[in-house]
Amino acid sequence: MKKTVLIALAVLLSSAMLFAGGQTETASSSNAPQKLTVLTTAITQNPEGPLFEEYVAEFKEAHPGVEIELSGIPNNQALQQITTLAAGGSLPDIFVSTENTIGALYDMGITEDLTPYMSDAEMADIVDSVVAGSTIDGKFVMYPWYSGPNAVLYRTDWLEEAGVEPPKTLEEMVEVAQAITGNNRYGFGMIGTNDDSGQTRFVMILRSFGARELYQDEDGNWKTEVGTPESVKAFEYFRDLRTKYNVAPPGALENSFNENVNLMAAEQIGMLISGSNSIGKIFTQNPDLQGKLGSVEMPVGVTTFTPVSILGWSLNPESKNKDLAVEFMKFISDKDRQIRWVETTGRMPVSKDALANSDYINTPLFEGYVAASDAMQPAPQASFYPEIKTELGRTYQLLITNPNLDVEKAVKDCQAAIERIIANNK
Amino acid sequence: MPSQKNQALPNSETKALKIRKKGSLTQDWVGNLFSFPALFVMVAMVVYPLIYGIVISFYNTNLINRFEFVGLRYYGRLLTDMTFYKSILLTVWFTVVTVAGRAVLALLFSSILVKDNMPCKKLFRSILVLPWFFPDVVIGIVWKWLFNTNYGLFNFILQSLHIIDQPIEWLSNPSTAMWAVIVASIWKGFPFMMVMLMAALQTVPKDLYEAAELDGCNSFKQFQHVTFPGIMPVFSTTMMLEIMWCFKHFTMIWNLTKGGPVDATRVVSIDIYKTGFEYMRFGESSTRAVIVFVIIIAFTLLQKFLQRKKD
Repeated sequence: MKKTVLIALAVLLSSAMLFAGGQTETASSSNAPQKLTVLTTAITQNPEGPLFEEYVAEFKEAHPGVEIELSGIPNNQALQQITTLAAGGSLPDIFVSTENTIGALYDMGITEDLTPYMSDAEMADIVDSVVAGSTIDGKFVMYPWYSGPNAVLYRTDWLEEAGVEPPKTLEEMVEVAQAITGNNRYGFGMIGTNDDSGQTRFVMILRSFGARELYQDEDGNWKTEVGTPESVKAFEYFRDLRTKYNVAPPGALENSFNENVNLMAAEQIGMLISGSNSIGKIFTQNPDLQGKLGSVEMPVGVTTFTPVSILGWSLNPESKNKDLAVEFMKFISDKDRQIRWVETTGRMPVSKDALANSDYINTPLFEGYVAASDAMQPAPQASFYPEIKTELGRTYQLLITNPNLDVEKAVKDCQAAIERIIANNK
Repeated sequence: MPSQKNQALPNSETKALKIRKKGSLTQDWVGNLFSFPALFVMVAMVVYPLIYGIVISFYNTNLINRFEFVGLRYYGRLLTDMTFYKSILLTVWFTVVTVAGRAVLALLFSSILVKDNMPCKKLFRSILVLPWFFPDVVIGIVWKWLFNTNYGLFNFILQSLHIIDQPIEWLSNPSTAMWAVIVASIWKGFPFMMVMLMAALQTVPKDLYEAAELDGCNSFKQFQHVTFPGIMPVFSTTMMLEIMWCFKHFTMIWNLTKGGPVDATRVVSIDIYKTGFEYMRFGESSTRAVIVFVIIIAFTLLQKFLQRKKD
């Protein structure tokens, strides 16, 4: 008897372990609420989070019986988290995607083509460069929510005080930065970290000097122009901002985007190459700066370059609520909500209608960003692009920390490293 | 032979043995069944990921829809990859200095805290173990603020005391970044070792100290000949654990420097993370992880071998 009880107990315990938590929702009654799972960066941010939750509440009110389950993830961890969820078969119905991650997500086959869900009028209302940045192989794989074109954000009062105009060329940018540097103020906020924030800003300078870090030739082969005299000039320019002209604050290599926004809010830097989202963050921290900021398009070297910068949604091809999910995306991104969004967060609308009808945007504060949102150009869609950008970051950090280093040699080493990466990925 | 033995036994004993054997067999079976949940968890949580990690080191994969078998290509590539060797050397450097620093602090504080005449012993003990209680992420953020060039506490104090004119770029300078990371890591990790050594110190018999004192040993000699041999088993085990933890340490370094500047703090765990989760090359990332696994296993076996030889 004792033995039988022991065996029964052991079997019961083992079975409990095997099946615990393993039950899936096999069937749901027709009255059960529809549930959407959403992975977003918005709820981890301020001032974005509270407004986004307001939008979600409005959606639920308009759709009784619909349940929304939100999960938050910081932007720089989104790709890792989505990959992990997809590998584990737990991908939410809707998840955040950006111009940096969409190539990898598409490559994994986890982004539904949204074209069939879009009317011609809806497509025509989205800014052209944004549509291009959201489309891969003719498939509309990211529903754009807002854009963050980079421009130069500057202190209008400091420039007026120094009697200088907003910079139109890279040379002028140095002159303006020098003119407003002094009294514990620095003219230029340098994002010198070797992360996406720093690398993207350096790519803007590199391309403005006329050198492309990665491009495809006519035969479709990946090439680099790092190593050319133009690229050497770009590295020298970036290094000199910190080491020769001293217009960037100390600690540049540890100051990423957030640190520079804090420095601008603390009135320690006068110019910053940044997306319009920094405006919302700066005003939240220091409301006294309202009316003291302006923006100008990225200054020209031999040309100018503003990379596509979009944040949107991708739809899980395995989702059981695709129609509802698309409705959610459209609801969040309608014209009025995009206008409220930019007024609160500073993030630019992707709807032409919203861009044209927002009084808030059509001010000197957004001048540079409005111009930039039309001029955004796509970044290379190569799976190894992040690695190439890391090499650029390593090189500019090396030059800034060793100002006497032979720039040409350092750039040649960078070129060799980039070519090695390209060869490894053939 | 066993049958001959059984034949030699009286009937009653043979019967008893059979029953015992039968009983033990049944009990083993039931016992094994009871251990199944634990075994299942271990296989699911340890063995499977380990084998899966080794398997994907032979694949070019994004873990979702691309599994291209590449054989030993990534292992071959790693052999000529100087950045990997550099990251291994950096890891060894980080591990040696951090563990040594923790050991010195732990020995020092534990020796003080076990003294009978130490006032407010419990209070100091509680304060000193505090760093161990906080998550690495929190500690990382706190130390990042302390080291910040523009508004960090260290530069503020040094400038206020007129020791420096210009702020020191602790985390922006490749020659100071690793030291900054090591200091923070020592501070975070020494309490564990301290607690272990305190426990060990309390087991050293007091009469040994009295005997040593009678033999004319001063404090240093007492430590050398009584204390250290007494705590050696615990000390060596703790050191072993610390070495393994430090060798694969990630969180603090990531929070402070993300491996920079100019790869000055790119230890092997950062290298593995970046390769896998930033460059999405999971196969190559696993290759690196497998090599680290082999290094740690080799080190553990060496330690066990030396320990056995000594015993």
